[in-house]
Amino acid sequence: MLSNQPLKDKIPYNLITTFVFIGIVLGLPAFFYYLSPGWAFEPYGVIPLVFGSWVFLREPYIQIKRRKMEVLSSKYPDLANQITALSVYTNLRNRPIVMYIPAELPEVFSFGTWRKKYIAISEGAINRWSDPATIMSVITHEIAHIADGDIWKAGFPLYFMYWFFGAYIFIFLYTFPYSLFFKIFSPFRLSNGYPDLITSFTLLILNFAILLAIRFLFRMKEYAADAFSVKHISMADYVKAFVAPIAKNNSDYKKKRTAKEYFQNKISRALTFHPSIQARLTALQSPLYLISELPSLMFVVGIFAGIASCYFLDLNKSFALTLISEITFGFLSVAMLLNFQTLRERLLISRQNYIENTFSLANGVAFAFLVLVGVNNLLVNQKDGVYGFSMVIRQGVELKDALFSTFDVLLLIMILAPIVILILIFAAWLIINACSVNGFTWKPILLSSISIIPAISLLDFYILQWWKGSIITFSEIAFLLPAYLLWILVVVLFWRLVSRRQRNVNAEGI
Amino acid sequence: MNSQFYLSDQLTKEKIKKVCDGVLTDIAPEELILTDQVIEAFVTSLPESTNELDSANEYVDTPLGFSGEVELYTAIIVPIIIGVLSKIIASFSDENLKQAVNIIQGGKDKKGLEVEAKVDELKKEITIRLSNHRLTRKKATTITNRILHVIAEELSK
Repeated sequence: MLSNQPLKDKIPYNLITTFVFIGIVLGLPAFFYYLSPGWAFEPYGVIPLVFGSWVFLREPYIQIKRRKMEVLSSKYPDLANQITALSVYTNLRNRPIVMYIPAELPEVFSFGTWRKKYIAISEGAINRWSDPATIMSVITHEIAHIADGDIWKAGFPLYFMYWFFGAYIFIFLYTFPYSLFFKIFSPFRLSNGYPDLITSFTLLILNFAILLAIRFLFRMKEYAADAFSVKHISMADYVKAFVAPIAKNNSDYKKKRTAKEYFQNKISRALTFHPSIQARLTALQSPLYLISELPSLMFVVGIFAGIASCYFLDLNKSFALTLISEITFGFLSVAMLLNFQTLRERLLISRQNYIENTFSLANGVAFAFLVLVGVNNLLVNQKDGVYGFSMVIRQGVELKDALFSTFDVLLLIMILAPIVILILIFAAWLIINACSVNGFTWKPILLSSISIIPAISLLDFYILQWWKGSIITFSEIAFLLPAYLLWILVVVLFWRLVSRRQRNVNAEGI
Repeated sequence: MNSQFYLSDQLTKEKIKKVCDGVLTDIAPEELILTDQVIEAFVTSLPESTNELDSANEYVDTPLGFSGEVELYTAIIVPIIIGVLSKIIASFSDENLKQAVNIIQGGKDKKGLEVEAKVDELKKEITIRLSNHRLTRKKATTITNRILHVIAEELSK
């Protein structure tokens, strides 16, 4: 039941979300300014702001027209009266207009601008949440979004981001040094070569980082709206809203979806910013769970670490950008590993086997480190051959200080380590799927065994180099790698045989 | 053991709840808070046959809307548990039921080949029903085993 508590409570997590909002909206032009002072004021910096604002202000009117919305009181006056009688509604200074959407899919959402705010309820939602107490729970959740100003705090950065991405595509095309790969000049201007590549790469990283920040913002807003709602409605009543959709005619809903709608739904699920219902329930019951959202902001640490290193070491600007983007990318990769449920589940095969999983991860990291050191070693020594990546960086920024051989290793670790770990996990996953049969149970200890094999193989390369007295050639690596993969396969097949025998022994009841 | 299965029966509801909680504790403890309501929702909107029970607990994902990207495990498993429990109680005699419980719990019964086949069929059916939702094969198998294991535990009491 709704209490008569006035709506002057503090909105949960407001400080951090406001900080992220300011960071996105002000941080982007600031970063543009750092990249090139002109960009912040020329179209690249201004266009996203102007177009983002324009679309944001127009969006509610377009939504109302396109979705044929009407005022709810004209269709369901009783329901409209119940909503406007809610204490959380009446206590709002700027009260939203409650709209009705003639659509069968259950939808309840808030939209609008700084000035005018709306809550939209579809016909499907009215049927699905037919119990008055439950629909009021859902409406309270939406009112919480409006009370917190989420429409502009989360909505505006999203539109800003869309337009920023458009401007970014242009800058990427503009700065991309085509001459590096296609032996032609840039279609826009004379290429600056490697420094341009670094700028393009930095922008790419920045886009990805901002996308994560907006995702974080949206998710925190949902958790905050839930936390706010349970201050006014009992937890038992509130969770009914999560359950209600299963109660009525859902088979009809399933049948009515066309292939196109199904496809659209799949796409929107892939790009969704919403936390899962499970995550929302967990956060409601134990707010400490929200700490697991923080890795999304790890890139901020990366950017600050990069900027601080550049400032204190007095580095060249191009090199500084590289360092910032690479450290940021490293942190982003870690965030991805920690944040995305599916990936985390693949990584942590079983919750009970932390030690084995940590062991296998450590092996993966060790392997990545050895690869990086090895690659760096190969590249640095091939002075007369094709320039490797570390030479590219040095040439581009014209820095030949000995200090940078150390930095090269650091940069390579930041770039390659997460990628190599991901590839390793993916390869292990492929092997598991290829070799698994009924009755074959995957054991984390086996993952550990497999993940350590590449590390051993790399050590073998080093031993081989020491024995030969010269650097290992690519043809030798090309010969040895399949041999190690074969070894992995033998281990897996052996395990499969053992587990099958074990199964047979159990089946005979001995 | 009672050979009849009435969903509205309080004892049956409690049995379903115990099985559901037993499975959820393992796969999604955060959803334990929902069990009563989900069971109630299915019991009140009961179709003619328990085989028709299924959930479509999906939402439209609008920014700042009341939605979530994943289906509730509770909504997925409750209709399955109801179906499996009713099937087990209806199709196994008391002696067969003991054999079935033994087989599910990992033991073997040389006389129970027919029962074993039925249990395998049941297992297959649950996995297929789970796979219709957005679950990986591995997850579906894990949940199937868990459901059967908890049901066996419950029935052996």
